[in-house]
Amino acid sequence: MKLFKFSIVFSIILAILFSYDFSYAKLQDHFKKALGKSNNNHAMRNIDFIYMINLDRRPEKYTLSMKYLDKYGIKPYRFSAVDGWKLSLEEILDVGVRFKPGMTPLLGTTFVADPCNSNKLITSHEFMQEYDKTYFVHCIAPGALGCALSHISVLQDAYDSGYETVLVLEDDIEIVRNPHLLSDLIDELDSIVGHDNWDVLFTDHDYRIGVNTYLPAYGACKRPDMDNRPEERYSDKYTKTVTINQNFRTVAARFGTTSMIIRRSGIIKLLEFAKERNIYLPYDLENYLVPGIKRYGLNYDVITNMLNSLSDIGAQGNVTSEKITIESFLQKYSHQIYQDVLVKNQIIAPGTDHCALRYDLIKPILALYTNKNFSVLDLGAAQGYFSFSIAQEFPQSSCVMIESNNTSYYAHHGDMLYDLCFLNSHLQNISYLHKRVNLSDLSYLNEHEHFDVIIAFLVVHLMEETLQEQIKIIESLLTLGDNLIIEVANDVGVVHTSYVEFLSTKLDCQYLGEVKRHKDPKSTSTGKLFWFRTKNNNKKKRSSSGARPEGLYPDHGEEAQRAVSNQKGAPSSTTHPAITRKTFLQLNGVYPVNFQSKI
Amino acid sequence: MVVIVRCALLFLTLVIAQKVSGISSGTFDIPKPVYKFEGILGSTSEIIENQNSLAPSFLPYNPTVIEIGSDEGAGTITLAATYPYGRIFAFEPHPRAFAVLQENVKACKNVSPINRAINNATGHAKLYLYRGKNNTDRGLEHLSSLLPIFKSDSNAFDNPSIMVPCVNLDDWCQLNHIDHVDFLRIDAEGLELQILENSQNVLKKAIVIVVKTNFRQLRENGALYPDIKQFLEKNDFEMLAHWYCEDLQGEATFVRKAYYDSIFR
Repeated sequence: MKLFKFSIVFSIILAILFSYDFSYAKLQDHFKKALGKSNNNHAMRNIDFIYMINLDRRPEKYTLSMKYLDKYGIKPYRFSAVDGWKLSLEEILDVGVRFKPGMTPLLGTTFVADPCNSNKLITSHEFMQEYDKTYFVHCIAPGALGCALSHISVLQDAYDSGYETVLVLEDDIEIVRNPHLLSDLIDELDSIVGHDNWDVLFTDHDYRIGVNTYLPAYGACKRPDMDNRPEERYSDKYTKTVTINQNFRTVAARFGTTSMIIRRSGIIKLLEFAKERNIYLPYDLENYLVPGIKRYGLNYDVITNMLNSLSDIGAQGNVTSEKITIESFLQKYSHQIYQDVLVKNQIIAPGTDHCALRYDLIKPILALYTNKNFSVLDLGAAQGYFSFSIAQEFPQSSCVMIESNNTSYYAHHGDMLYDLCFLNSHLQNISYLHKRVNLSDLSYLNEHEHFDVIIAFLVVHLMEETLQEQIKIIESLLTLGDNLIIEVANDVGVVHTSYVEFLSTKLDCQYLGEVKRHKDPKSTSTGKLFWFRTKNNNKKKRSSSGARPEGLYPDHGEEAQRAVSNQKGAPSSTTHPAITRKTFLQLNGVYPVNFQSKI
Repeated sequence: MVVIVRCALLFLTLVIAQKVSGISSGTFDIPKPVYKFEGILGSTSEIIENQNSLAPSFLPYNPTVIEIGSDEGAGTITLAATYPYGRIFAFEPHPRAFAVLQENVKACKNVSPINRAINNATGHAKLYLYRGKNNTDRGLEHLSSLLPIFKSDSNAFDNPSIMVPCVNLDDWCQLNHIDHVDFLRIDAEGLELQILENSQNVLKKAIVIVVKTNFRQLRENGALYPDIKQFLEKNDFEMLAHWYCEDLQGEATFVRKAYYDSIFR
């Protein structure tokens, strides 16, 4: 009898052991510890601890965020973020969702080791078929996994430390109102819904994509282990928000986790969900899937996301830009590239479009400034071919590039250009504004800056949809620069093309020529370049921060000298930057790095 | 009152006439757009000459790719770079174009150029060489086809032709032990639908198909876009993006319905 009982117990133990999946580590095995914490100074009234998640390779973002908070005497603890791009394949496969029977097959993304280099990872988009294989949401990047792990690690630390209420910040915040208001808002929310009856309070209205412009979410994302029926995903649970009073509303699905106040109840729910389900979606898209989570937000912004911030997540990701190499760049951006990619005056990757032909057409215009300093604005710089070429060939030039990530086809041009700035750090006369500029930005530039040459190649028709708005942009560019070189195509933005051709007959304009756009011999796309010469008397435009002598751009102005960096290893701004520091900050300047830090 | 109305009508007529002729006021007349777009990924303000840029988001890192009508290989090289761990089979029947293709892809270890036309059946067929309206421009031979020029075209003429080896795609895959094709790219000057109809095995497992589309009957029995779209939709595909020149030609990307539903529905 004793032997029989022992056999039963032993069999049960064996069954449990064999059913346990030892092949993968758990999610919590990859949490990052919060090191070097001190218990003072990282708190506010009603908030026990304030975290700021920041990558080690992004000191400039942390510095800027701290500068904003310092005004209010708020000192968050800097949590060294998990860098998703440095996760090993093993770690990534541990933290994702393993496809099991009963789950809904979806098109997902997984990661494999590069057959030529086992230390590198490749993404592979696959329809879920193989059981026990790890998948993530389609097109997720390792950066997003790092972000999720960072947030969850912070939650674990908050739980272990016994905090009742924490404020978790990302490092690209913008302060719209006094953050101390949040302490009063917590009191108010407690009195309205009950101290133990809320889990998360977002400190803004919603995720911003412009001033007073938000990006709403319209339902829940799919997960293979959840109910994906439309009636569930678009139910009130995920779509309906209720205004409670002038300050608060309930929050359903939303984007962004830039700044959240989390109660201990919320910490527990979020942690349990993550440990049980692992990571499938970006953190902000999983946050609202947690069963029973009670989320609230404000009807206005107190701490919110900074607009046009450089992404550390990205579909292609962002390895340490300062340490990027040609090899890592080519691996990161393995898809088709628009312009020829120039690094140290060599083409390291050909683009789909002819660049040299266009450059040859504009060189004579640039040559007019031989032996003179001159400024160039490169609007829609793409991979920076023209600015890098000009900066190289005309050391007396100062080139300002403008580009952004958020266009549908030309995704990640912004990140790509940022990396290329570092690869071309030998050029001291380039700067980069990471912004999708609009008419309002051009008005600002007209008020504060002026350029000798403006290049707008196949970009104006992408900035605005309607001809009326495109006309306004052209008018703005004509007053912003002495020479506007604009390219229009025969097959896209044709209404805009016709207008520019019409305008060329009305103004002082020289037709430079027509070039084949694409290198594909089957392509019939061409671009026509027009050189508008304007007579502008606005060369003395400047903000009150510095005077600017008449004539062409000067050397060593006071403003210019202040902008020169003495930091070792960091590329310094040109000795005669084309724009002021104020403009650099106003239009989200990101390169040179030191430009941003001198505020 | 009558005089006022007549003057107003006259004035209106003058304004309209001025706008139509664009005289003296320098009136700007808005032309008809050249390209149009339909689909879920893309917009009218952009054009993607090579729609390969959409396909990578739906494919594994090591896809099997078949390109039909590779010509001299400009697109093939892009495929090779986009899918360094994939296998690319580039079909081109025109001997001169094939010679250039071979040279161009020599350095691409993942590309196998094949000097065959894809056809309904395996054997030989006439390749009708296109040399322009005057039949003199050899630079236009990349527009050659296994289908003759549409006879009712007022510019029709007797195409010179050459015999080329051709193969049925399903047969070829079986012979070469290729059990699935992930990405199919077809530019066969009107033969696209026939190729698809006769490649049922390939079609069952394909994930992405990029196909040239025609809106005008340029070739005898050449398929028009609506027929291709209908056929692919019946075979479990959804149109993702289609850029086209109205009444002429375009290029469309189709993706397996389950993949499409997973993302967009």
